[in-house]
Amino acid sequence: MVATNTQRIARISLLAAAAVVLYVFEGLAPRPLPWMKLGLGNLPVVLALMAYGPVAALIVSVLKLLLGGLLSGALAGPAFFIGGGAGACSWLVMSAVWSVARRLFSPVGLAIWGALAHQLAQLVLAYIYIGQLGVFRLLPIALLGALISGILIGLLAHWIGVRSAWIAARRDG
Amino acid sequence: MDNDRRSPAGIALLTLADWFLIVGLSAVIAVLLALDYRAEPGRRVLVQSGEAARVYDLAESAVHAVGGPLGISQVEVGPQGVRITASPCRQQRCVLRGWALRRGDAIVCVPNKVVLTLLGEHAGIDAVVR
Repeated sequence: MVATNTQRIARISLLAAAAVVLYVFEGLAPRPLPWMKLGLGNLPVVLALMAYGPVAALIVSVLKLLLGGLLSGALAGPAFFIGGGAGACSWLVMSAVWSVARRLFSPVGLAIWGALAHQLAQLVLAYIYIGQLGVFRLLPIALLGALISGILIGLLAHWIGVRSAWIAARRDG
Repeated sequence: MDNDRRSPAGIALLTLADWFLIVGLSAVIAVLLALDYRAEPGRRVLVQSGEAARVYDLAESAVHAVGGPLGISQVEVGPQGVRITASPCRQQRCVLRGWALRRGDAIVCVPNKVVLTLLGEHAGIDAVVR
């Protein structure tokens, strides 16, 4: 199935819209573990990567951060820059893994790499902002969060990909 | 479409590289958590905010006001450890984090730039601040 350009734009926009909703929703929803975010907003980014590659994933990621930040009132605060930088690192690592080792990893592996990059970048950026090495004491929790989030987001991405012809289309190609 | 090649659910979707990644990451986490968990309860707490760094003894229960860029964070210190009881930050993650007790545990409030680190009896500030 060859997607037309219009179809592609529409689908990327839908993914971006879903990412914004999930991002804002996650900020409002009560959390069982208050210090942990699942990163549900990353799901559409992973789907965009699987379906259309790194550029589409970047568009979804940037729109998620800008619109999500605007809606949740966090735009331009320190949390926004830390989240934005972490999001950029996550995109970079996932895109690299997708480009180089797509056949090696399933969406689960892909999402774990992304979550790992996100968490580590977040710690480094928090350290740069605060300037206290004590920040890195959170490393075990950050890694655990990345593992849980990566597996969950990866499984969701896989299941959605299996059910969606246009997302699955690119994966083996 | 070749969707039917992949199982719609279940473990079979994981590749060998996935497993290496998951097992490797789990091992690192297990070692780090075990090191944290084996630590004895802290004796003192290092409170860092901006330029200021102070050490309080956990034996002396008290509530300290710690200033940050957003305002005052209330830090409660006592034999049960240390926690942040009130913070001017938006997400309140540091407050919800609750008590930290073991040596090496830390509570970090990124927005208000407050870092609490539990120390043992002898380790100096240097071990953490460097």
